[in-house]
Amino acid sequence: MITEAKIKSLLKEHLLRKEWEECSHRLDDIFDLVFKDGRNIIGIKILGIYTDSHARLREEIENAMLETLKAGSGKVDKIYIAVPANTRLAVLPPANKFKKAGIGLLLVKEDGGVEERIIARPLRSETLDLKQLEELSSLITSLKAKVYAIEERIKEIQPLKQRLSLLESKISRIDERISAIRPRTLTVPDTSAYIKENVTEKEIARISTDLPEFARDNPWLTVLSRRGSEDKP
Amino acid sequence: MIISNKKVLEVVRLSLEEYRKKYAYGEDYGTRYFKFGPIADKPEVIENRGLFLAGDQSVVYKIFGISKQIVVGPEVINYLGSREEVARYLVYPMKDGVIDRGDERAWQVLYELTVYGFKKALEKVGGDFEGFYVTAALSAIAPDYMYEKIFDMHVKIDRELKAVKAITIIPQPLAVAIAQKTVTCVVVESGHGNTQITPISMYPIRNAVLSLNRGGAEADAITAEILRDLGYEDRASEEKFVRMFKEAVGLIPLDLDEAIAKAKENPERFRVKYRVPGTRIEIDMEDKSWMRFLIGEIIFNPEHEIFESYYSRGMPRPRDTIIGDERIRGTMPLSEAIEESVSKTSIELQPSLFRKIILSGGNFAWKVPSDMRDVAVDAATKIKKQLSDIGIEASVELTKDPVYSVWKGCIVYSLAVPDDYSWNWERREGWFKRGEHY
Repeated sequence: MITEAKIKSLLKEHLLRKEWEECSHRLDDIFDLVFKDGRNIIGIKILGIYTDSHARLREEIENAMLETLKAGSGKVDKIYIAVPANTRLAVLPPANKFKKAGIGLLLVKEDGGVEERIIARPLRSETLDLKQLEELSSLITSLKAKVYAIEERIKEIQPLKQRLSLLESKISRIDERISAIRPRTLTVPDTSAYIKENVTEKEIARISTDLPEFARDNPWLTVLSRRGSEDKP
Repeated sequence: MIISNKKVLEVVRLSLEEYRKKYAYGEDYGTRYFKFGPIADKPEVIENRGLFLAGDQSVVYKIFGISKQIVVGPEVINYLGSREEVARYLVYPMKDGVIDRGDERAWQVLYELTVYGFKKALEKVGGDFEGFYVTAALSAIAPDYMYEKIFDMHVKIDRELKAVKAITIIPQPLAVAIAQKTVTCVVVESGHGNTQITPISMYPIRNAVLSLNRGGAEADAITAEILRDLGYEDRASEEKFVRMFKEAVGLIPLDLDEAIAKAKENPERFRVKYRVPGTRIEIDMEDKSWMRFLIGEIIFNPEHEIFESYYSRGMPRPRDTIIGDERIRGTMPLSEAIEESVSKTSIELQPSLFRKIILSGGNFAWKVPSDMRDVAVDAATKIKKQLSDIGIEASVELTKDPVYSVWKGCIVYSLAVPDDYSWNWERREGWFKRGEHY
């Protein structure tokens, strides 16, 4: 038979391993353990099994649920009842009673294992403050802008598909023409017609010496200066 | 295509003509700061915000001869009253680089900021001035209507002040690549709420751009949780405090598990005490100093299992992005996101892109204490390691000038793009010009 003291010790170890913080709280006379999991204060009432009478055991647990709700209301965020894992579930109050009350149920094994059989619900309802509302509002605004951008982009695609198909057929006709004339042309390399990068870069360097450092020797000056001329013959 | 030397030089000369060298103008519409100004070594900087002088106070201001409706720039501080007034009348127009189409107050503020910039610059122009060649930079995800609105704004300003000869708009990652003097690269830009990955090869490769819904805000969120764990619940709700604490104590681990192990083995070595500025309050992280590494890690890998307990406590998980029928996980490690983006470019180009990955934005500016270099690294080293872990050898660097690089890229763009290259909505490039478009 696992005692309440043992359950307390095993439960405490388990919660500390989860990096919850134990609180020194004034509600110790109602709750056997009070912990904090970052945001929530959690009160745990431990019940050992000291009677064979199922009815009495169930009554004890239901009373504990009422007492902890009454005492913990406004002071803790969540409440759990902890019992030994070998407690027959038929003896416990039905699960929907726990869920209605928002109280969780923990089953503690002798080897230290803890099962969260029923999850506790927050007792204190959260309301959104003005700051949270503003954050939500700006999030919605940003999402709306993104959705709009996506819709606009989709609209653009339709005419582009038609243009693409037109261009494809043009390219294919040009390709045929080039194939026809290629054998008749002599390919003589004309070195003066090619860009001599060293000379061009030197000229750009010379022109850009009186510019700020971030513009000097910047290859983008050449790249950007060709914008538009790539399309011209 | 064959272009003669003579033709290139002629084009370059036209672009770098004396007029442009005097009157090239850049505008970087960042979420927190507006950087602006004509060609110089660096721009002017003001906060991207405006204060409406409205409501009950407007009568008082009129009595004192103050007739303007919106105040921008350093003057804003002089008009700030109660916290309620600040909440009602102080407007930060941009949220993650975007303004809602219908947000009239935000557009008014942006207009006033732009006018402010031009009025300052007009004080120094010469007798030959006919208007600036303006390049403005917007977020890579800015929609078309933002481009339209910015053009309209500049047309209006030109009609009033004769300040704009031509205006164009480029995406911020392109501006970064230009400032870094790199023609083929991947720019990873990370701000407060958004991270964008843009492969560039002379042009931004638009269908390879990848956007993640996370940034510095995630580091703020984990910092708030850490403050709660340290017992500073009240401080955890103060945005500005959380950011200051994050910047003071946060570290990027080369390997999170190893860094935590070392920090737990030798807590004194990593222990930090943060003194709240202007007070005698000191936050001592004691043996919880290993948590410093969580702040840096979450930016690069929010999928690490250590963050699951924080998500289940209620810390927001970065939201997924949906583009078409593709879902990009909000928690995708940054290295995987870079790989995903580059994979959408041509195979021949990919090795060149991985050879130059440039990190830009305040979210990548992290200090590395000299006595912790065995565990803590900068953002570039972190990404390089992450990519190496997935089999990609890459070269990663931070922008040399994270604060001003976008503006610098805008200036170079203004200098070089030929005058006869007109705005094209398909390419989203070219000059929107007085006398041609309006």
